[in-house]
Amino acid sequence: MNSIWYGLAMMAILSVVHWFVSNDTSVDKTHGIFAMKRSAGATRKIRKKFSLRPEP
Amino acid sequence: MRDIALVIVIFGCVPVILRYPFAGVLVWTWISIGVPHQEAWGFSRSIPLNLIVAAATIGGWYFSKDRRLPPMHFIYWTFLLFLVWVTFDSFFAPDPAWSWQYWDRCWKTIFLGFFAAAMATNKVRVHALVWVMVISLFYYSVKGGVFTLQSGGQFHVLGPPNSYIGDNNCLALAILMMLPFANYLRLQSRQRWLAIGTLAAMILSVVSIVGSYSRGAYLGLAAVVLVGLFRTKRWFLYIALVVALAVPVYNFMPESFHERVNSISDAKNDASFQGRLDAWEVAYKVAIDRFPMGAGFYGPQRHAIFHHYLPGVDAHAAHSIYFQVLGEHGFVGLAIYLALIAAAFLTAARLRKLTRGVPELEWNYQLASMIQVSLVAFCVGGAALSLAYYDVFIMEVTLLLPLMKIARDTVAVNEKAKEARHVATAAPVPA
Repeated sequence: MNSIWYGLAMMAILSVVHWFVSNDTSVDKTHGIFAMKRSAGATRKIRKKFSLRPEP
Repeated sequence: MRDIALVIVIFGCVPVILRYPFAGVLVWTWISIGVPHQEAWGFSRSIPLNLIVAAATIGGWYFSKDRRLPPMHFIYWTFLLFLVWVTFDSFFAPDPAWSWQYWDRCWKTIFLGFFAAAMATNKVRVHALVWVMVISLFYYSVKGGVFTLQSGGQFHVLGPPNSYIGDNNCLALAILMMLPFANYLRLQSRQRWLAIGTLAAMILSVVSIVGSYSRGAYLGLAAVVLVGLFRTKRWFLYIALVVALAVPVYNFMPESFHERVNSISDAKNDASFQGRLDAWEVAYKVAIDRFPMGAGFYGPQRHAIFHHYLPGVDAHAAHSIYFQVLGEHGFVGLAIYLALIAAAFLTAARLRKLTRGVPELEWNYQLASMIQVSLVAFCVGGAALSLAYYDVFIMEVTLLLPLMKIARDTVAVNEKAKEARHVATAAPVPA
């Protein structure tokens, strides 16, 4: 019984996280580490190092 | 089984946290307040889950497009000053190694509060954070309420081991502090089933507080009921509801409960109360002797210090948030701490004034009101319990920062729109 209650509490927390992810409209989400604020030079270096396509 | 589930959930959340740093604040809050790893009883207790979630949150926040600091406010600076002071004080503690281990817990909680304040930038986020805080404690309070009803109130309701809320007194106060937040969620719930479910959980939480046998929490509960009476417009209905809940619960509880309650009025002859007086005396004397410092985190309750002042008397924890801070961080620490509490009350009052009658900020008004009630519970119940650095207290105070910012921004936008409408209507019509 205790384990079921534990599982339910965990599910409830996860549904809150899911609800937040589905409903949040703010912009401060990351798109991987490549969304970080940095200079154009640093961006080029990182993209070159990891062979990433340039941003459109 | 619980261990495996918990570890899978936490590690499964890490990619989500990296993408949405605020999800990290939610999970971090859950681990911090709900201490699910202590309830898993196995290997997960040896895994630094909190550190993993914190690292992912900080990483996600650092690389986010909108990396911002908490709103600059008196509360923020006071918290920072408190943190600086307790850090400085820990260097001079009689047993620094002992003090540092609790300092480590304290600064992490304050930082969680700062991250929450920085990232809770809208209603959805604030709402989600409050839900996580409430569910984390509902887990114990609903279970405790059912346990009290099942056992006829014969046994004490206890919290998880190795946590702030392991003791029956501390758990009861934590639940009491959470109740106003649960009420806020009940008021805000659009779905009827959710509002009714939250109300049922709140009633079981009250039963759980009663089943804790904590007199400090009973006093806090009485204070909360009194604040509710002053706040409500339908006071007759309110009194009827309180009586309808209190009378059956009082009659249901066994004789040991009645003795416990009656001992509040006869505190002078109570050994537990005498123990509190001793602990307060030691805290005061430590603060005087070590002025302006204290004895560091949980220092005055160390046998060597306690017995230096009261030889032959059993060493006790401070059993009061005020004497706890006084003994541990001296008069300066207590002054900063009291300034923090006062600032929280004043900010909540200002927030209520600012948002009263603004339809889109009704939620903000309700939450500020509930934070005030929760603070009353903390200040009254905490006068007899050692819970000075409790996570819910830190979270609710830091939550006032984004609430104030959201309110100010919304009111400013409304005023600008009003001015624009006024100018448009006053402009002459072209011929």
